[in-house]
Amino acid sequence: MLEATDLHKTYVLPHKRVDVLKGASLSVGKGERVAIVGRSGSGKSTLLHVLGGLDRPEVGEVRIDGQPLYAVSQRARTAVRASKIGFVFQSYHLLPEMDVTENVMLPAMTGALKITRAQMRQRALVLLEQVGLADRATHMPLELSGGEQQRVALARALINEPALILADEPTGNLDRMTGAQIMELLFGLSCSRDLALVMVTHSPETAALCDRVMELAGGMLAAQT
Amino acid sequence: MPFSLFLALKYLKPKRSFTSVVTLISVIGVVLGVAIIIIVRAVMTGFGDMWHEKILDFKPHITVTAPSGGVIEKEEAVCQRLEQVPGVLAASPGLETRVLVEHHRRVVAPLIIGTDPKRAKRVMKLDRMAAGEFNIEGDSVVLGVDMADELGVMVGDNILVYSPMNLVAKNEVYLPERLKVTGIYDSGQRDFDSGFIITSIAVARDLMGMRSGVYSIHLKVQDPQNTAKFKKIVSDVRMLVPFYTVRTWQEIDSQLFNALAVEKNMMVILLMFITVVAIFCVTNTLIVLTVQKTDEIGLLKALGFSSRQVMIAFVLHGWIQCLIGTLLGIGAAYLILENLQGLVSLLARMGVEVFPKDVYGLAQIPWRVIPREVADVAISVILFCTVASFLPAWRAARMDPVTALRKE
Repeated sequence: MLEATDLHKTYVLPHKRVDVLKGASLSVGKGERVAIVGRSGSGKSTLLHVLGGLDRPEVGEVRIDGQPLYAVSQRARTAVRASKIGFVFQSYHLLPEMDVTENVMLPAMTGALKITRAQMRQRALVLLEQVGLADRATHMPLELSGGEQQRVALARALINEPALILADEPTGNLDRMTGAQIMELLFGLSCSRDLALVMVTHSPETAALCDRVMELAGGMLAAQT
Repeated sequence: MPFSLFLALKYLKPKRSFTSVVTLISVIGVVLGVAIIIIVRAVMTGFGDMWHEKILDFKPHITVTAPSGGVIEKEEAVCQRLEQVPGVLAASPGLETRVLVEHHRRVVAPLIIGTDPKRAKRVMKLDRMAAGEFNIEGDSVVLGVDMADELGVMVGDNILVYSPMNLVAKNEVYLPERLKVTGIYDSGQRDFDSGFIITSIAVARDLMGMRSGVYSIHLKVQDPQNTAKFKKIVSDVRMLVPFYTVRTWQEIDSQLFNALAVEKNMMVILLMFITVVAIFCVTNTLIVLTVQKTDEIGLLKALGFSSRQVMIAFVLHGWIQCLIGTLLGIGAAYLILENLQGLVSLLARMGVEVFPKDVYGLAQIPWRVIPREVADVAISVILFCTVASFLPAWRAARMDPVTALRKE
């Protein structure tokens, strides 16, 4: 499903060169759940951005379902991202001007699915039902709690029926109990839809729930024992 | 609805108070800019119309004169021939000269116009008589309301008119003509009401020591402001009387009309700068918005929206503000123009004389909206706005999603 080989990424800061990724490779199968752990600043988020086609590596390639991400034009990469990858962020990133349903519909509005606005709405309402927020469909994001906002973000990540979910510390801003609920929901949805999941986390408990745990250290990925 | 338009409309929604206040101020800037340009253009057009109307009512549309200060003989026949030209409504002979007028030891020096009593009424539109009637038969004279005030003359009084020939004739003495005031006209134009007296051609000839002939033939034509038609009439008249000099009303008062046109254009150019400043408010709003929405822009790009979609959304956001501002500006301009007199009166009551009557001589402020000019303003503003929206929109579109998302 996801094949990342020999990824190198360097940031050039004033008077400093930071090699974040130094040949990191990762392979994730369909429906497989992989946790990425590592110390703060080890480059976990950068790796996730590279895997999601947001940040071009200097060396290496990422393939989604065999399709290369960086050997194609930006437009093609954007289209792959819209149709095959769902993102979940630590800070939810909901648009405050739009209600919950519209936020969930957002990725579908890229045109990746070629469905009507009514069909998008219908699909968003089904997803909101699945994440337990059917009664909040017309609410504005700021009227929701952190946990509820992350559920909306989960529903949003799923609307285009992606094959891969990239989650960047999805429980980082939530309390332990709410975080556990979100993880349960994320794992449940991943299982029921046979979704590949790559999740950056600091929590050993959350990481332990995954099929595999990879540690990013020194710019390289290694399976954690 | 395309996503870009959907997002642009969402950003306009006054739910997020900060954005909406900034947006509101930008829109008000455009409203004021557009409204002021339309109002000024309408009032300037109104003033131009007023001048045209007054000049065209009082003065001839075409003046035919003999070359080199000569005299036109057999004026009745010339008038009849000229009236055959299609579009010429009336022709009237004229004999004009500067005279001295005295009444109760008060003296003024107006231009006397000697004309045919019957034909004059068809060429000069002097239907606004302040007193008496337009009667220049025999030793009668009609003068303007301001001159009547200056001389202290009323209908029925006699005035003495001294010929200028006394200054040039060495062996002859021209006795002053005693003329009876039969009417006092009020053209509403101080120049006309204080500078002219009208009498019969016979009286004018006596004053000039002439036995026959006139200095000019005055023509009234149909639709003198229709350039194409008017040109044709002038050309026909020139062909009919090739030995005479033919001058149009625009040529005679060209300085005034040129001054009005230059003034109007200058005002529009200067006011356009104000509108450009207002449009920069919109650019400013968009820049604030792009900074404020940095993480959202990053998210949109991460979700798979193209740079083009993001750019169009921001351009549309600015464009919609301008469109709303322009439409409201046009509405506000009409509203103000419809109530202009009331507003000016209100200001006058508060001690602010916007158009002092004794300076402008106007009972009402004239205005006329030319739809094409309104369309010009609207199109220019929206065009400027679109261009001004591009810079912040381009900035938003080229934002790196990773950098934007990190600004949490």
